[in-house]
Order: sequence, then C-alpha cells, then structure tokens
Amino acid sequence: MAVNAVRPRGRGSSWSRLVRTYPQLFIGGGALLALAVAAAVGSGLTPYDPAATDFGAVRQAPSLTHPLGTDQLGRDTWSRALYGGRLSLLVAVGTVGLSLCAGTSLGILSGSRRGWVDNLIMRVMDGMLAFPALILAMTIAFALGPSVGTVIVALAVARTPPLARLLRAQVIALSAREFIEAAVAVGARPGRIALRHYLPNLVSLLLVQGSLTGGTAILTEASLSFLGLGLPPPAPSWGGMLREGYLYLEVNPWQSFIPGMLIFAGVLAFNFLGDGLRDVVDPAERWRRQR
Amino acid sequence: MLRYVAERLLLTVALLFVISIATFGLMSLVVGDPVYAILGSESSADELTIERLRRELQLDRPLPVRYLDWASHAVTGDLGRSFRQPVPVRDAVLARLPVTLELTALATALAIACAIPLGMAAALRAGGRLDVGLSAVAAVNLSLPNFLLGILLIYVFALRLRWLPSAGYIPVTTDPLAHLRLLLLPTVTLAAAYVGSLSRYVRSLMADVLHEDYVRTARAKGLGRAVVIRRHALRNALIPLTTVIGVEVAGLFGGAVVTEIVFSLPGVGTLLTESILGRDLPMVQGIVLFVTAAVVLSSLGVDLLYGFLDPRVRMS
Repeated sequence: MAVNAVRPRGRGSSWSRLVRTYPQLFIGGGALLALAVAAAVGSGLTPYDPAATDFGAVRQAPSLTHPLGTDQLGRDTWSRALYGGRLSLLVAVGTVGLSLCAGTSLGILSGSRRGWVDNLIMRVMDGMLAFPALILAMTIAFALGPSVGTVIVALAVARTPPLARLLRAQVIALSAREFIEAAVAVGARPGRIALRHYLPNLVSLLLVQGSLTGGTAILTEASLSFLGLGLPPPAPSWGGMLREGYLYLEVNPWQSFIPGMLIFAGVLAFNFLGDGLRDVVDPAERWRRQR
Repeated sequence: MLRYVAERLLLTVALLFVISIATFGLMSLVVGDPVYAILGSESSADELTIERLRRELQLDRPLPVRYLDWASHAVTGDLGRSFRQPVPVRDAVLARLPVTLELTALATALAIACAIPLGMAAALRAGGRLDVGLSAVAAVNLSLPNFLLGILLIYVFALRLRWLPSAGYIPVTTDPLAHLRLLLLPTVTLAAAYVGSLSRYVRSLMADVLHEDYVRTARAKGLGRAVVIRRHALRNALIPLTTVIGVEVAGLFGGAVVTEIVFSLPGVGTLLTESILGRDLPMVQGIVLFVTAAVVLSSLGVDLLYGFLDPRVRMS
C-alpha cells in the first residue's frame, strides 16, 4: 500500500502516459478520427443505399440485417447515419474554417488598430451577439435558401462575434508585450505584424476555440435540421433523421435514440478534443479549475 | 449612478439600431420575390396583378426608404402585417408571448434554484465527489442537445411510465393543474442546459469569495461557519451571477424555440419556425426584431441591476 502511494504517476511507455494524462484529448480525437474515416470510406461500410426504400422492412429495431434498424420507409439507419455523419463533419469543418478566418481577422484588426475601427467592429459584434445563435442561423438559412453552403455560412456568422471578441482581448494583451513593440519600432507593416507576430501567438487559442466551434456547429446544424430548416428531406442528416423518427417515438424509439445519440456523441467528441487541447496548451488553467 | 445609467441607455439605443439594420438587411437578402411567396410559385396571376401587389407591399421603392418606413413603424410597435394570416404581426407575437415568457421564466428559476445549492456544496468541498461529479455533468450537459433530452423525457415519463402528458398546451385559465403538468417536462428540458454551466459559475464565484480576507476575518472573530457562508460569502458571490444570467438570456431564447417545437407549445419559437417554413417574411422579420430587442433590453436591465447591487461597477 505504502509502495503504491509513492509510485510515480506516469508509468509505462511515453504513449500510454500521454493518453493517461490527457484522456479527453485522445477520446475526443479518436472518435472524430473514426467519424472522418467513416465519412471518407462511406458506401464501402454498408450494403444499402441510404435512399433505397424497402416497404417489407419498415421501422425495424436493430437486427443482424439492419445493425441500427430501419426508418418509416424501410431505409437502413446505419447507411443514413454514415451519410448524415459525412454532412455533419463537412458542416463542422466548413464552419470552423470560415468562422476562425473571420473571427481572427476581425479580432486582430480590432485589437491592433483600436480607435474608431475597433469601436465600429465591436458594436457590430455586440449587435450580432444579441441575436440568439440559433435564431440568427435560422434567419440566415431562411434568407439564403437551403443548401450545405448556406448552413455553413449561417453557423459561421453566428459563431464569429464571440471568437472576434475573445481574439481581440488576446491581441490587446499581446500588444503590450515587448516583441510587438519592437516590431512596431523597427517599422514592420501592420500586415506583417498581424501574420508574423500576432498570429503565431494565437495558434493555441485558435486550436481550442476551433474544436469547441466544431461542437457548436454539429449541435446547431442538428437543431436546424430538426426544425426542418436544414437540408431538404431526401438528404440524410442526423437532425433530419431525428425529426422524422420523433413522429414514431412510441412504436419505434430506436429511430429517435440512434440519431440523437450520434449528435450527442459528435458534439461531445469535439468538446472533449477542445478541453483536452486546452489542458495541453494551458496547463495552468487546468490546475486553476481543479483548485 | 446617473452617468452609468445614461451610458448604458445610449449603448442600448445604438445596439437596437444595429440589430434593426441587421434584421432588415438579412430579410432583404431573401431569395425569391416575396410576391411569389404570397401568390404561390405556380400562380397564373397576370403581370398587372403582380405589379399591383408589388406596389401594395411597397416593394417598388428603394431599400433605404423601405428601411426607414419599417423602422419608424417598428418604433411605435407596428411590425407590419403577416403574409399568411389576416392579423398584424404584433398581435400574433403578443398572443404567443405568454407561453414563451412563462417557459423561460420557469426554466430560469428552476436552473438557479438547482445551481446555487449545488455550486455552493461543490465549492465548500473543492475536489470532493460532488465537485468532480458536477464538472462531469456540466461537460455532458454542454454537449446534450436539448431536443434529445426533451425526447428522452417524453419517452420515459409520458410514453413508458405514463405519469405526465407528452405534449400540447392548455391555458392556465382553463385548467391550472393540467397547465402545470404540461409545462413540467419542457421546463426541466430547458433548465437542464443551464444547471451545469450555472452551477460551475456559482462554484467558481464561491471559491473566489471563500479566499477573501473578509471571510477569514469573519471566521476569526468567532462567527460560525454557516453564518459566514450565508451572510458574508454567498451574498457577495451571487452579485456577479446576475451578469451571468443576463448573458445566458440570448441562449435561453434559442433553446426555447427547440423546446417549444418538441413539446408542441404554442409559443413565439413555434410561430417563428412555422413562419420560416411558410416563408412569411414580415412575420419572421417582426419576430426576429422583437426577440433580439427583448434580449438587448433584458441585458440592459441586468446591467442596471448589477450597477445598483455593486457600487464598484457604476463608479468605474
């Protein structure tokens, strides 16, 4: 017992020690990797066409022939889940890319220029923050009409203001540091300062915020599809599957539980990845949280 | 204090201006001619009818003019007329508003009522079983879509156990008990999303306050632990909580939309979803402006309350 108590925490190979120190990072990253592989391989993992109906086998519970059951039209849930996952991942990646670009540019511009530019940008961001994210996304999806691009733009626009604010604060904190002052003093152009001096110092923050944005994107996309405002019905999406399945909750609860759990798992994976990355890049924060 | 109030008010007016432009701008992006949204895309209406309708809707005038017209009416509370229903947008929104307000108010109250004791208990035994459990619950909470939680609650409590009705709405004046029974599951669904995050806030606010000198002084002069926590620590810890709740208001409205749909509650969120699906442009525009203005005004209220509760805020 006493021997156990003094044994160092990190045992075994460096890999297993890394996994044990940052379990969230590896669980979240692993789940997303699996989702990415499933999305890439896609049709190779299922004998069924996601759109093929089979009225001899409607609303089935999971079985050997249909591992996740079938829906009200006899379509195979596993195939639809695969294609829906591809869509969710695409939307998440697109949203993360777009909102990080917009948020970073606005944040650096606002934080380094200050003055009226800063004021204008921040008041507009405040105005956008007043829109509940889901309602803003619903409205943009309404205005631009349903398509994958629209959904990505809608989610990215809703996510940009908080990112811009966060980055602005970070940029302002950085702007007081000597290396920025030095860059300004030697006459570096603003674009060079932004790209070579600010950006590298924001990477760790962007990694964490990027993963958390991925989670929000999956959640909001699913909400839009659940409300019937995502992609139109024949395209399989997790939120859309839940919307249809919900009508048959009493006769076939699987049809609701499976897409619901997939959405949950997708969001959780991104959030785990984000929290795990935060532990890696900012160990002090982890210690503070556990105080 | 006067200066603080004036500053807040000015900022709020500016914000309302920004959101009105944003709302109007978004709506002017709507793909497709609203005339066809009214007539139906395959209408056989002749050019003359279309032209007349366009003039009636004032779509023939330039955008800035239409904005000024719409905004000046909106300021007086006139949000235009619905394309689909023979009612003004304002009346349609006001008719649905009580349901949404009741749902969000009940959910906020429930979330706070759960979060304060949980967060306090976690802070008092930092690193304890409750503390660790609570942060795990908060992490799960953040990822659990509230429509999924709603569906699970309906499945367990309405369809399997048959304790509660699954969905629908009965006005409180018709049958108060049935009214509350119908609102119970939606309230829990909407509140659940905030219990996790709010209790974490309470915990960290409480943990900060517990390290303050005045808490140590109070203990040192011989006051009991319970009295110090209740009278010195909790009171000061809860002041910043008002701003946190103010920040959550926007998210609460978003959550209410989905919750109303899951439980078929006739609230503003359901109206918004129906209007979007029915491409009822003035209705969508009016609801979005109304909801955002409500969010801005409630955060103004929270800011003023905070300034009132904490003199340090209004001085700086």
